[in-house]
This record gives sequence, C-alpha cells and structure tokens, in this order.
Amino acid sequence: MTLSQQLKFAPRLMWREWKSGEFTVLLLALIVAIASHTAIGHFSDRITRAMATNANNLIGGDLVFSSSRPISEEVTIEANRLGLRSANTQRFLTVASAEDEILLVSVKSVSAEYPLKGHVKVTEELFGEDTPLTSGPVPGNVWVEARVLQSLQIEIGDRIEIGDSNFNVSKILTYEPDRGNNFYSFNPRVMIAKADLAATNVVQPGSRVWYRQMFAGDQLAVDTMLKWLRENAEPGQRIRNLDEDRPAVSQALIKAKQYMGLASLLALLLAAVAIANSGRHYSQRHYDTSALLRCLGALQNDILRIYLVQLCLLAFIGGVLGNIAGWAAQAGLFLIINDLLPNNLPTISHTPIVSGIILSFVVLLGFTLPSVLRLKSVSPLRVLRNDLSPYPLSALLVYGGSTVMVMLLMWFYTGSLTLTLSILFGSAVVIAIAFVGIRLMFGAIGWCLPSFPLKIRVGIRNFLRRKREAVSQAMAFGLTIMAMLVVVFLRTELVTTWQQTIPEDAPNHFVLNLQNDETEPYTKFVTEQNIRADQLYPVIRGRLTRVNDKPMVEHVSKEERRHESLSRELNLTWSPDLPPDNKLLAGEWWQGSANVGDEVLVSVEARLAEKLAINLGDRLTFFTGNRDWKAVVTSIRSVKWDNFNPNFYMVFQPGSLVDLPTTWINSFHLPPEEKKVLVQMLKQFPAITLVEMDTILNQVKDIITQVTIAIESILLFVLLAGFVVTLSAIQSSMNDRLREGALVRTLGADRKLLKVNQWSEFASMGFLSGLIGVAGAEIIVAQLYQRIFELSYVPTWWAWIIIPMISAGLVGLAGVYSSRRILREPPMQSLRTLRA
Amino acid sequence: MSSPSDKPNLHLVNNDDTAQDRNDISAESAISQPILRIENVNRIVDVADEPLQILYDVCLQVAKGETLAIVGSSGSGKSTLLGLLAGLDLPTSGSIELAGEAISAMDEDARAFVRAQHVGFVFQSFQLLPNLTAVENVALPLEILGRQDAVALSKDILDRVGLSSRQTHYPNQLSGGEQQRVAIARAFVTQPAVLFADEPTGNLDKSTGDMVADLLFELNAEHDTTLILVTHDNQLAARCRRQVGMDSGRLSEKQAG
Repeated sequence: MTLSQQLKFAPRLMWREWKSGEFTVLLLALIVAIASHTAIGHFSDRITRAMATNANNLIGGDLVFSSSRPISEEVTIEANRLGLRSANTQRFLTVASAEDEILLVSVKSVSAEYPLKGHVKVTEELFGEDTPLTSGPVPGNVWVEARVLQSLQIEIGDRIEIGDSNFNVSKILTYEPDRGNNFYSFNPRVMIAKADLAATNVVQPGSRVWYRQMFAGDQLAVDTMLKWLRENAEPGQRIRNLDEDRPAVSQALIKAKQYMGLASLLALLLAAVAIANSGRHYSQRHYDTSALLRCLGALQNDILRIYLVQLCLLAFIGGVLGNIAGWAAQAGLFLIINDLLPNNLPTISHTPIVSGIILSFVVLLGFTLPSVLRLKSVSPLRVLRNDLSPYPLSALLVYGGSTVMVMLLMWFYTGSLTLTLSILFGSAVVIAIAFVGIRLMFGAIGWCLPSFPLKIRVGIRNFLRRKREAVSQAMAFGLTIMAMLVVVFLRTELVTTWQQTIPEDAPNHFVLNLQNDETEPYTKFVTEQNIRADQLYPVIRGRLTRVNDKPMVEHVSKEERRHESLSRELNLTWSPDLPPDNKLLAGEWWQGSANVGDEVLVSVEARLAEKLAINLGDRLTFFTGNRDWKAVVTSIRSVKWDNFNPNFYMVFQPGSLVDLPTTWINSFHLPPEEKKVLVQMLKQFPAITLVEMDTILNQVKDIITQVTIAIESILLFVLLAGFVVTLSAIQSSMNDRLREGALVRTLGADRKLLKVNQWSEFASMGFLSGLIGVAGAEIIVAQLYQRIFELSYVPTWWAWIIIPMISAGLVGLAGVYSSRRILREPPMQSLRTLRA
Repeated sequence: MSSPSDKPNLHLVNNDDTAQDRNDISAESAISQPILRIENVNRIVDVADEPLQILYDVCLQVAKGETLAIVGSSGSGKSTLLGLLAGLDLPTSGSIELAGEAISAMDEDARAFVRAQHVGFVFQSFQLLPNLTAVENVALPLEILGRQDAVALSKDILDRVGLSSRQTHYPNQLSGGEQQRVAIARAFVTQPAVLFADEPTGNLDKSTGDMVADLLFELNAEHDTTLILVTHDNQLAARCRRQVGMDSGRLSEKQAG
C-alpha cells in the first residue's frame, strides 16, 4: 500500500469501526481527560488572572516603582513604549491648617490616571457607608481622612490651607488601594490633585518627597517593564509587586496555584490510567484484524501506519471534542458561581486550548503506542491459530517509557521538579506496596474463602481467579482513588489554613499614639463599650546603629546595606511573654521584668537577624531621641507577619526601656454596624491615630473565598474524571464477563445468583482498591505537606476504614451497573455477538 | 531431534491428464508450470522447550487450476502445512515456491506482497471483521491492493453469492452459512491464482455446508482458480480432483474419490 492509500484506507476502516461503537470507550476516556484538563486549565487560568487583577488592585497597579527623587522621564517613556498605562503620586509631610488649628498631615497628590487598579473609597458622613471611585479629587478639592476633620475641628465643605493654596474639603477618604501595611508612621492623609501641587509651593529642592509611579497593562509588557526597571533602578529606588506588599494574599495565591497545578496533574494521571487501559483493550481487539490484514497481504508497516493514522485522527477528534466539553464545563461553572466573582472576569486564553490538543496527542500516542506497536508483530498465522499472540514488548520499554512520559508531562505541567518527583516517588512506592499487598491479600482472601457465605463465594473466587486482570484493575482503581483522595485531603487542609489566616474576628482597627497616661482610661473605655481589644503594646522608636560596636554599614553585607530596617526608625516593644503566633527558634525567653541597672535583653525576628547577620549574644546599639543605648540578643524568633496583629522585629524584656519615650498601640475587632463608637473614641482621645483596616481585610477575605470556590469546583472535576475512568476500566473487561455470564446462565444459574456474584466480585475489588488508594494518598500527601506546602502532617486514620467501604460500594455499583447487559440480554445473543 | 531422512516421503506429483502417473517422481517434468512447488519441507516447533516435529520432508507440486484436498485427522499437521503453503509461516527447512516466487526465502513483508497478489483464503471460523459490514469485509483485500473500484466489485460478487440484500449487514446479523458466503466472496474478489480453504464447512451443518461447498467449487470453476482445501470431511475432499492424505506430519497421495 502506498502512503496515500494508507491515508485513505485508515480513516475508512476507522469510520466503519466507529459506526459499530468500537472507539467509544477510548474516545470517551480521551474526551474526559482533555475536558477535565481544559476545564481546569481555563478555570484556573481565568480565576488566577482574576485573582491577580484583584490582588493587584491592592497595590494600585501591576507594578509600582518608588523613589525618594523625582522619577526620570525615561521611565515614563519606556512605559509608553511598552504600551503600559501609568499613574503617579507624590507623598510628603506638611502642615495643614484651618482657622487656628494646625495638623501634621501626609499629603498625597495624585495624577489624573490614579488609581490604575482598584478603587479609592470615600464617604460624605463620618464613619458612614463608603462608595468606590476610580479617580482622585478634582483640582481645588481635597479628600481627607476622618481624623483630619476631628483634629482640625472642621466639617465637609469647610476649607483648609496647605502651603500657599486653599482647598475645599469635599469628601472623607476611607480607603486608598495603594496604602500598604505600614501604618505605624501614618500621619493622617490628605489627598489632592497633582495639578494643584505646584501652586502649594510646598515641594522645594531638598524637600523630602516620596515619588511613586504605578504601571498596568498586559503581563508580557509588565514583565518587560519589571526587567527594565531592575536594570535601571538607582540606589534608593524600589520596585514593588504584590508579593512584598501583601504576604497573606500572595501566599494564598501561590498555594492556590500549586493546588490547581496538582489537581490538573492528578486529572492527567487519571486520564493516563484510563487511556492506557482502553489502549490496551483497543490493541487486543485488533489482533485478529491485524492478522487478517496481514494474511490478505498488508505489510507490517502498512499495519503500523494504518493504526498510527487512526490514533492521530482519534487524538485530534478527542482533543477537539474534549476542548469543547471542557469549555462548556468551565462556562457552566462560571455561570453557577457568577455572583461570587468579580465583574471584570478575563476571557479564556489560548493556552489551555492548544495544550489540550497537544496533550490529546501526547497522552493518546504515549500511552497506547506500546500496545499498538504490538499489532505490527501479530503473526498472520493467527487466522489459523487463534492462540498466537504477538510477542510481548519488553516490560522495561513499556513501563519505563510510560514512566518517563508521565514524568515529562508532569514536569511540563507543574513546572516543579520537586512536585513531580514527590508524586512519582509516591506512586512508585504505592505501586510496589500495592503489588505486594494485593498478592498477600489474594492469599489471605483465598485462605478465608471457606468461611464466606456460599452465595458470595463464587464472586470472590471469580475475582481471585482473574488474578492478572484483577491486580491491574485494582491498581487502576487504587490509583484513581489515590488521586482523588490527595485532592480531597489537600483541599481540606488548605481551606482550613486559609480560613485560619484571617479569622472572623481578626483585628480590623488599630489605635496608635496612645500616651502613657491614656492607657488606663482607654482600657476602661473599650471595656465599657464591649470592644474586644487585644493586648496593649508599648512602642518605642529607635534606630539600629551598631552590632557589637561595629557600624551597620560595615557589619552587614553589601547587598543588605539598603535594607529598609536600616533606613528608618524601628518600632520596638517589650513583652513579658512570647507574643502569640511567634515561635522561639534559638535562645531563651526571659523570666519576669528587668531591674534597674540590669543588662537590656532583646529578642530579634529571625529573617531580620539573618539579613543583618545578628546572632545570639550580639550587642546591639540603638539610637533614640538624642542618645545611644545597648541591648544583648538572647533569643531569635519567627513571626507570622500575615496575621494582621501588631508584629515587631525587636521585643525587649519588660522594665528595661522605662526611661525611653513610649507610646502605646492597640488593635481590636469591630463589626461594621458598631463603627459609630469610633466617633466617641476620637472625641475622648483626640491625640490617637486610628487606622481602619476593615476594607483591606474584607478584600483579602473575598479573595480567599474565591480561591476556596475554585478549589472546590476543581475537586468536582477530578471526582468526575475518576468516576468515568472507573466505568471505562470496567467496560474494557466486559467481553469476558459477558461471555462468562452468558455461559453460566446457559448452565442454569438464575439472575439473582449472578447479581450476588457480580456484587461480591466488584465489591472485593473496590475494597482492595480503596485500601491501595488510602495508602498511596497518605504517602503522597505526607510528602507534599513536608516538601511543598511546609505544613505538618497528621495521618487521616478514619480514611483507612471509611474509604475502602465507600470504594467497595461505588465500584460494586458501577460494576453491577455496567454488567447489567449480562443479566438483561438473552445468553444466546451474548454468545453469538461475542463469537462474531 | 530425529528426522527420518532415511525414509523420504513420497514426491507427490499430479497431472490431471495422466492420473495413472501419480506417485511417479519422473512425472514431475510433465508439469510445465506448477503454481505451487514445495520440496523437503520440515517444520519443527518448540513445545515446553522440547523440539516437536510437525512436518516430515514434505514434497508437493500443484498445477495451475488444479483442485487439491489435504485430508487428515485433527493434529495431523494439515493446517500447519496450509499455513506454510500460503506463506503465513516459514518452514524449518525445505523450499516453497508459490506462483514462481520462492516464498520460503522471503521475509514476512515480501510474502505478504505475494499473498496480496496471488492468494485468497477461506477459513473455518470465517474470519470476518465484526465491525465491518458484509460489503466492507469483501472490499478489504481490494483496498489493501489500492483498488478504486473496491466497493463496486464487492457488491457484484456479493450478488453472485446470493447476498445482495445483506450487503450492509454486520457479521453478527448473518447466519453461519451467510458469513461463510461473504468469506468466499472476499476470497474470490481479487481473482487470486490460488485459493486456500481451511475446513470451509467445518462450522456449518450438513445442508448449509453442502451449499457453501457448491458455491466454492462453482466460483473456482468460473475463475479457473487453483483450490487447495484442508478438511477432514471425506465427502468434501472427494469433490476435489486430487487428494493427498496427511498423517502424523507425513503426506501421501490418495486415489481420487
């Protein structure tokens, strides 16, 4: 046959077989595989992009560049060249006045494009409902924080002066998307339009101004800009992205991405199991066809090419249909959870579509080729002697090849070699254990067989008799169950961890600058108002200047000389106990308070200690006000920065810093309906700085809710894929069962007996698979926890009992359902169909 | 391994015109152009690591257009011989020439080429592809040859075997006799020089078997095909002009019945 003849003949043969349903199972397995891949691909891609967009809203752009000097024109030119949108702000401290009152405020002038992402929120009533806006104040107007009104004793519509200009106070500012977390040094904010800045004459050469330029645009341009900025940034200029500004959010995103990658990967593994299974079945069913074609004169290469063309066609069809099904599934999913998602949901991208098609080819060819290659070597003599099967390919070639394929796919898929190797290692251990375990269990079941009721004995014996087949099927189901369990276990753990990240009653308000003599009345106030306030922490400002009498510049490495902790005053505190969520990593915590004249003891946060090369026993010199003072490092501790509580780099022993100027800080949770109490608080303690964090907190919580929904939906896909795989695996062994069932019925067995037999056979297989699945999942999850998610792992004991039972029930049900033809069809018909 | 080479098998020669010359080695020369010639063929297989000889020094020549029955009991080696004659398998030693080509010296693909050009098959178990309709099954060998008119020719020949109304039926929708008629149509559709039939009526009842045999011989006569038939049915064998017996791997000439 010439190649063109083969290209014509192969589809014709395929079409004929197609009509008779020969390809249904294989195609179904492929469609399920590609559909779950593309559905998860589209879903996680869109959700991730939506989440990233929302999260970027929190820093006011995709990328932020800040500097203590005016940002050069070149930066703007480069951004324009890349097609990025940009906005800029200028921030400085100055005095605002209204009639007799004056107040040190932090003025922020914003360009017309501000904010690039997210919203500015304002209200016209103190602590009233706020509304989101997508631009800053118009020239001539200022927006101010609530405490500016309090301190200057003015109202909306009054006028204030900044420098040489006079402004109308038009709105109360409640939220800026790009405000960041560092609120200790906040002076109350006043926002003006950039167009008004020059006229104030406040910014003069030498003035201390923080300039910020924000960029937004497509990812490629943003990445290019990031690279350009890194190459061109000067000392004192900083590039900020999400990771630095919002550790809680970025952590959630990273874990969500890892999880989704994992879920996709497991869907892929399920698919591989299904396809390898169906492929083997497909190949076996074509031994006779190949023998006949050879007998009729087809060459070995004709056979190979005919089946290759068929597989390629099938891969293409499976890829396209799988893509359509996957697209429909994700569209349906988005429709269901529409209310919970942001309106600006990105459209689907090409990546999952293309990768779905490619994957269809790779998976189908990769996992069926070893079986299909055997078709080439079917002897034509098989037409005379049906027992002649082609020589088996070397086990190393088949399994080694498949393993390498799976590994490459996983690596490509997850981009993580560690994750890939963890799963491969886990699977290898599971397969080895399962293999030995199944053999042992077969022995045990066989040994116990006489003690089973007579009725189910036949079914179990059936299961034992098909040892080879039963081992491979139990392994296939076991791996399926394992994959699903891994996804379930991880989901539960991740969601719980996230929800714990920001508990319902996480502090959402911070009170700063409480004076020494205000602490008692303040405590009384919060008690009376039933506000659940946390511990009061003292705050002493101090700059770290020397380690072991060596100036910081000489002590730290070149790269760390610009560490932000060295360029500003640190917030220092004291505490009798280790603060909650802190963990002692080295050294000892002090007992009780220090006495006058004792050495000052300090505990240093671990990451800072590492960066600044601070060790236990080092003597640190601080500068506060007008004098130097010293402390000895007695412990190093880790701090959970994303817990929304006041956290400190340096904690001192109580009683040691009494003679330094101290203010106090407090945090508390206040539900939105009780916010009016803040007016009273500000009246009683006018000097305090009140920072409202509830908007930011709500935003973070929204993101976590979205991530959780995404994960739960993906779980559904994996479960669905697993179930279809189970069905297809059972169906591929159906011919033998049909033949045997028909024969047994011909010999006089009634339907009831057959049904009991089927139940006991499939249920035993399900039970065994359940055990394999749990064992495998425990091994893999333990690996993942330790290596990837850095969580401590506790075995899930209940699963060892529950899962095998559920699995026995489900596999039993699926098996009996798929075998219903045996009971329904007259035995004569079954025998005749199978003979032909 | 013992080969009874000291006791050579009969060199079986046939010439329809001189039936009395059977068993006469010298008569070989009377066959101008044998379509099939095999010489000193032995076939030894390994069974449980022990060599087992199935055929012993078989020699045979078959003239073009001849009808030959190979008769023998189960396990006598007749199907093995058929496999070798048709080029489906290779002898351990000896030579086989089919349509002038030394197929025993060819690799599998070259033999497949010879089969495609010159050989047709009818099997005891019909060997129809279950997923193909009757007409598609018949068209298969023509398609392997790359013939454009495969379907039209197949329909014609299905007509000829009396199955014009069953063309689009699948094998499991046909009776045993009908399935074998489809197989016969498939065997003749390429107009092969040699047709090999392995117990063609073995799976059929007597009257159906007779009908199928009638058809086989009719078509054989129409196409002037050389027919080589393996059977243990003496009655069917008797319809061939020449018969050889196979007994424990040794071939012997029989009198035509």
